[in-house]
Amino acid sequence: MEKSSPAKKLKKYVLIFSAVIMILFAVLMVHIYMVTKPVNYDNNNLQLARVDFKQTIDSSEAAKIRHFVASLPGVQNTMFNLQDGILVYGFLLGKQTSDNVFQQLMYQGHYKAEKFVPDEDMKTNSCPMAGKDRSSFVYRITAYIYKLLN
Amino acid sequence: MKKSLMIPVLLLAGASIFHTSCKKDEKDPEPEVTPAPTPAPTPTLYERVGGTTSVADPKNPGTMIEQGRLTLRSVVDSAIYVIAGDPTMTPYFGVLLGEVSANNTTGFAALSKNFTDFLCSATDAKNTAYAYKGLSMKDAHDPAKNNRMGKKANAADFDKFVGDIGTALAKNGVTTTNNKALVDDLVALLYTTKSDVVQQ
Repeated sequence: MEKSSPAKKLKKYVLIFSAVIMILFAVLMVHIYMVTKPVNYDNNNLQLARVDFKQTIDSSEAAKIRHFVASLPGVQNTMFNLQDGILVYGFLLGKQTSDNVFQQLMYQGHYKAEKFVPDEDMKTNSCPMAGKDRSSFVYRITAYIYKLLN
Repeated sequence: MKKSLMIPVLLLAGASIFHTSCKKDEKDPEPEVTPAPTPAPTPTLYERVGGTTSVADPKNPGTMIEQGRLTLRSVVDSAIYVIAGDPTMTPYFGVLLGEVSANNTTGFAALSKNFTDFLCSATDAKNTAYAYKGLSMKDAHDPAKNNRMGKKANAADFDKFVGDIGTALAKNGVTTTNNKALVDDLVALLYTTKSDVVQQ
């Protein structure tokens, strides 16, 4: 039995429409890949961490703290703000963690101190990156497609 | 005089007159004019911090980097530590201290590249690989255009930021004692952005 002409036409239009949708989706995936592919950063894995001391730290104690933290594996640089009692250090992700450094420092010196952790609001509303609005539709679709491509 | 000789004589006389009138006066030669020496071009700020001399990149073994960019990046990286430890700057740069998982780009890496690119462009680096491609300073510091800017910056915080850069310069051996001109020029460069950055 011959198919009717309108049915053939409908099938043709559905195929064309599907092809257009697929092409647009492919273009979208390429675009997302192009804008989210890793940029060549010089210090890609260098992470900063901060310890806020709740006691007075003089320059010689600060030097001891810096020397101890710098001796830990994966720690790259240290800086101590004497005026505000703040230690900042950089470490390589995958080789060290800020929790471990903090624990070892406290064990070694029994200091009154806190590990500084920025809250989500601070991560969303400060430079230079991270803290994306993970509830947004755009973020969710982008993250899904990025996962498919990587 | 015979007519046959008149024409050649007249031609000879005319040529003599022409030659004489056009001949340069040997008694008063034109003075030689020595052109004024072209003044050497003023080096750009990028050239003053090392320029395009190619050196080994200590952060990327096996690759080369322009000395100018290396100097600027060293100052930027030192400055980021100072900024991360400055409570005044925490609301603006708190994400630096948000720990990401391994193989993700850290806040430090992103800020180091962005700020180094900005300084390379601002100091007249010609290498297009070092060009700043981010938002304009005005848009980058406008919360309405950059949702990562939680609040508008004020003048006091901007001055503190520049002070932190000065501390970083000193950590890299550049002070007003040993290189006042360079410090002054770098600080002046940063202050050219103040009207765009300070929006409060």
